[in-house]
Amino acid sequence: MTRSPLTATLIPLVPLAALGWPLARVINQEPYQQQVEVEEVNAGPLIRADLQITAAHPFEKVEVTAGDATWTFTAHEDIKEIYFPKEDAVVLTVTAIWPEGTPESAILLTLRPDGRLDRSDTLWGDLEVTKEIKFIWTPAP
Amino acid sequence: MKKLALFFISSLIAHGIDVASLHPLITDAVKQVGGDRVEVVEVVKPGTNVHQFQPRASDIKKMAKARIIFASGKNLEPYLGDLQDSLQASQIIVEVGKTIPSQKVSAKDQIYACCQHHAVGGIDPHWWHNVRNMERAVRVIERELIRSDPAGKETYTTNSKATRARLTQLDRWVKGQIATIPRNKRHLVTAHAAFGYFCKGYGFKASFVQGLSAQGEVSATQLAGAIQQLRKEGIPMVFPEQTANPKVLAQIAKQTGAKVGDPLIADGSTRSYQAMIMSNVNSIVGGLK
Repeated sequence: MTRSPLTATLIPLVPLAALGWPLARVINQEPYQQQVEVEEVNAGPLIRADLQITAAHPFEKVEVTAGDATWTFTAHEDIKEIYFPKEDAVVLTVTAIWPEGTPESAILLTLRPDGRLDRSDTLWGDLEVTKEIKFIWTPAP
Repeated sequence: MKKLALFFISSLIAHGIDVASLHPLITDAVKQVGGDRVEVVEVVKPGTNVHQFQPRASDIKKMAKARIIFASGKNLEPYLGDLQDSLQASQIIVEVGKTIPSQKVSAKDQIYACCQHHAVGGIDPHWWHNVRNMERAVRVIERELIRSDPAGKETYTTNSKATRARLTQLDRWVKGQIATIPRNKRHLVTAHAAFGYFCKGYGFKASFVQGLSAQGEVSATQLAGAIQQLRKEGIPMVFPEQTANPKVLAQIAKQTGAKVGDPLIADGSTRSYQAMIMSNVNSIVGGLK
């Protein structure tokens, strides 16, 4: 019994295909994904920061606005994660409300952006006060 | 017996996640933020030279159950790239110091490096010597623990707040102690460049006179320059470090007439962060005021 020329040609290729298929999978696999969590400092259009408030007297509410975003601190909160545009300055509008009977008081705001130095300012007032605070970072030389 | 069983069950419920730490000071912070919910594997124990540590197979085995491996960052652990290859897909390495503003090791500021990895132009990895930086580190740890174990959020947030409050108190104490040193005497002379963040954070002029290696390899030119500088400035005291060879610093002190102060803890290879800061500040204040 003789095989057709096509069959005779294909049969020797079978072991080659059996070896080649797993080899092709190895060669064409996706690049290795790094397992280390890479947290890019200042990557992207926004900067992540911790905004911490330290109050001399108990307050009712503190609201901080940067651009379109507003963060509200209730009486039990002292720190929040905020995001602001990656620029050399940020303007925060801060409104603090204290309960009636609170004497003139102060709230220290400390902003700690990732990869940038701390900036802080103090808000003074009683009952309700609003202040615009500008924090500036000089670009690295 | 019933009480014992209840205790066993409650301890199982309370335990949130396993983590590992590659720096003793990070271990201290993770324990404070994690409390009973977190089991910390101390891969690098207090007393280990953190600049020379390299993980062995047994260390990697110890980390097998850890979901997070906390490292100090800023290239203090140059082996992290190799380590990541040995970990499982579910394990992450978190460089706690990564988002803390860096200071560079600069020749202009008479700062020399502590080891080859941190020579001039490199990033100074000793960020923990400014207490405010440790406050940032605690927040990083809090966020990462919450991300990996959301059920423990309340515990981590409460513990982080309490830890940061203690650090704020510690920072105030440091500033209060330093205020007792006359301004013109706030010049810290140490062996190697581990105190850049301390000096910048607390208003000290810095000189690190011992050259490129913590083991004390100093060229004759470097030595002569250091002696000339210290004589010129009338430095009253120089401070050795616990892990560095004190011989060269003692020689410099002898030739300049300066005294040798109590050894400072530079690389943070100690069990308690607060104890390290207090020990260093007490030594510096005692020597300079």
